Amino acid sequence: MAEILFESVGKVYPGGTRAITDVDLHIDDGEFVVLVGPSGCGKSTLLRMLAGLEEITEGIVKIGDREVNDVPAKDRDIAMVFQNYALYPHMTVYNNMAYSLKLRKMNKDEIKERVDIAARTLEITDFLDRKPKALSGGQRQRVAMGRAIVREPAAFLMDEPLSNLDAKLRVQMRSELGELHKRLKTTTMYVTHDQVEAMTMGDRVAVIRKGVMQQTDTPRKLYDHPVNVFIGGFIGSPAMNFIYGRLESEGTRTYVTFGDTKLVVPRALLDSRPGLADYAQKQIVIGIRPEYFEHADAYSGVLDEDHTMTADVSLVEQLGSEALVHFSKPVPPVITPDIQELLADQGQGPDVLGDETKFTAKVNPRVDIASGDRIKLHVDTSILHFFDADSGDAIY
Amino acid sequence: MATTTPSQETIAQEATPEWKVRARRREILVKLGVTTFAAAVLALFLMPMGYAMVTSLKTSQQAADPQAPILPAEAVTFEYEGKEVDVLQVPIDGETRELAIVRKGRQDSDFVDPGNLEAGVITWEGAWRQLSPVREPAWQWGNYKEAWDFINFPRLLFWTLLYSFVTLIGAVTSSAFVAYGFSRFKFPGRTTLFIVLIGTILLPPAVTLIPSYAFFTWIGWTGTWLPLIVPLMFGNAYNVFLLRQYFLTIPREMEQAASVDGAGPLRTFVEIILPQAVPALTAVSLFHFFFAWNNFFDPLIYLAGNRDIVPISVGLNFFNGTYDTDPNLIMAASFIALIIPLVIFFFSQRVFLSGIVVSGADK
Repeated sequence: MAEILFESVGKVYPGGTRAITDVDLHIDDGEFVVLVGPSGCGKSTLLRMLAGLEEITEGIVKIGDREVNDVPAKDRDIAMVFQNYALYPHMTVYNNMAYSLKLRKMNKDEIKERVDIAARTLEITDFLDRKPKALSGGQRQRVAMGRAIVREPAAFLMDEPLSNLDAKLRVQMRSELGELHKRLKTTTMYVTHDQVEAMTMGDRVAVIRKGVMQQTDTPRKLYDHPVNVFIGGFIGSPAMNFIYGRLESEGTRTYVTFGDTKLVVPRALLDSRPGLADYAQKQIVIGIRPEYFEHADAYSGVLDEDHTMTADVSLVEQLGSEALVHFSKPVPPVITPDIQELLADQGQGPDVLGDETKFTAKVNPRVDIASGDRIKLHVDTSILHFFDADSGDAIY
Repeated sequence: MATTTPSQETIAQEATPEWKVRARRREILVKLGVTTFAAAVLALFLMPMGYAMVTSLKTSQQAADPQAPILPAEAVTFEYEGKEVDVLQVPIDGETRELAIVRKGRQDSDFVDPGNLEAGVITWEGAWRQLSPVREPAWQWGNYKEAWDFINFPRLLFWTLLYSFVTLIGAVTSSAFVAYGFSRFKFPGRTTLFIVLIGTILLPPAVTLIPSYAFFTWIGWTGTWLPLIVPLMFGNAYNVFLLRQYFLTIPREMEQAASVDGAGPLRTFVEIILPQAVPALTAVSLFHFFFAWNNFFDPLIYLAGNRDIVPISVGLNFFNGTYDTDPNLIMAASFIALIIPLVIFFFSQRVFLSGIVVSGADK
């Protein structure tokens, strides 16, 4: 076990393409850090640089106290789980797991003992004599894990290990991986593009975008204090709603306005965001998470005008535990580079936004709402997010 | 009611509806048609082989006689007064009789009836050369033994097998290494080199024949196996291409997993990649084996001065002398020579075919 350190790490491919820019990341001994970002953001490259499968062209990578920049993969004392598992098809499960130990010239009894222990942990003892072809996806995943844990390495590197499983199995393996980590306490760097996986599994989550580290924090902090529009929009499902608005003061109260909507900004929030003082009367981007909305009829507190807005419902998605209400406001949509990138990750262009700002609200499913209804929504304004309209950075 | 119902059901089950009968009949007809067609095509393709088989069982005379019947047969002879004489078909008085010729004349000839010697000499007017001989089926199985002995088959076989297997190991090993290099390692000029390599396929062998021969003569290798073996140890464009395509289907993660597991490039290649490429390796091995087994021209020219070490392909030609030829023995020897590749192909065809259809890569 060991800590992992990235110091000003960069990666430039021979053709001149830059994949990683100046990444600093410190992973504590025993910590589970998830690296998340849209596809093509460089997260896998970073992991593979740590694994020794990609050359480190700038900066320093350390495992424990040792700089590993020029250490070949086999000598880095790390184990890796691949997206497609990369099990050796011509070897039995036992041999797949034992291969690395054999190469380390470990004696046979010890190999058998280690493989048996790992197999018992992962409940794959019955398959040890089988070839990978004869296993289901979930079983292969376990074997791939087994191959990593028999090594008792300094760190586990996992490259989207659950993405080839079906949704149900993925949820199950997610919690199993979590438990396994609690038991083994091996430093783990886990790469995924699935923000739910990132939020549920990581002690800390590092969000990377176009090869640049955006924010490394606990899932909670990442969710509550995104440093920019990109992270605000990337973390959370359904995504945060963004709209252009203005801060306006009336007497002692400060409001945020957009279209015909005027919402009060509580004093406490203003105090915690001193930076907002510079944005009076200026256009800013306001972020409202879907769950900050509630249907006026289902709101338990006292309704007041300063916390409500009207919505012309265009679509209702009834999910049982919640209902998603879609509506638009006649305000030009927020199109910043961050937003464009988030859309691109979903395979869409800015055109899909149209010329109005679309909202999604997560409300109590027991209130009857139909498309075409005009409803009143209560907005919890104590946790609004504010971003600079030009840079997309959060205003604190 | 209760007693009649089951019997009605039984009737309903037994009586197959008309449309089902017709469908089945059509199915049988289609199968019959397809099978007949396939058999016809097969027969067409096997015809030369059948002809060779039949020829191998003929006498040398019959094989050389264009008038002779297709199936192996021998002219019947009769022993008359201590001499072997031919039995011919003689038309006499509107019927054809089988008579032994005892005196050959230009205008008329004398015959005896082998079944009735007491009848004495029968004189027949006409040219005896126009008469057809009487033949009886005669399968010359002895041809095989004669062929075996005449060309010293075990010795030819030894050299052929030696040549085939030595070059097989060399060619497949070297091709695999080269193919792996092309499929995985990035190096300057890789594409150019690959194009040059593939270009050698397009180069007609006749173009390189004389320069190579001159070169091998210059370094003193003609008359030995060296010019036949050594060049094959450096890969072959077909093999490299086939193996490369197969290696490309193996996910790169295999090598990466192996390198994280602690294997170096050579070990990864030998222990991880090659075992996964068995179908392609088998295909390439068989291609090479058949090529080497059939290779005629190279051994012919390079071993021209050394008759003792030629392979079967050249050895078969020993039956073709300057003044005589024994097609029946050539065919017999060819059949003996055919057995080994046939057996090898038979036992490896399943792996072989999956190697040609480069698809069945299990990940």
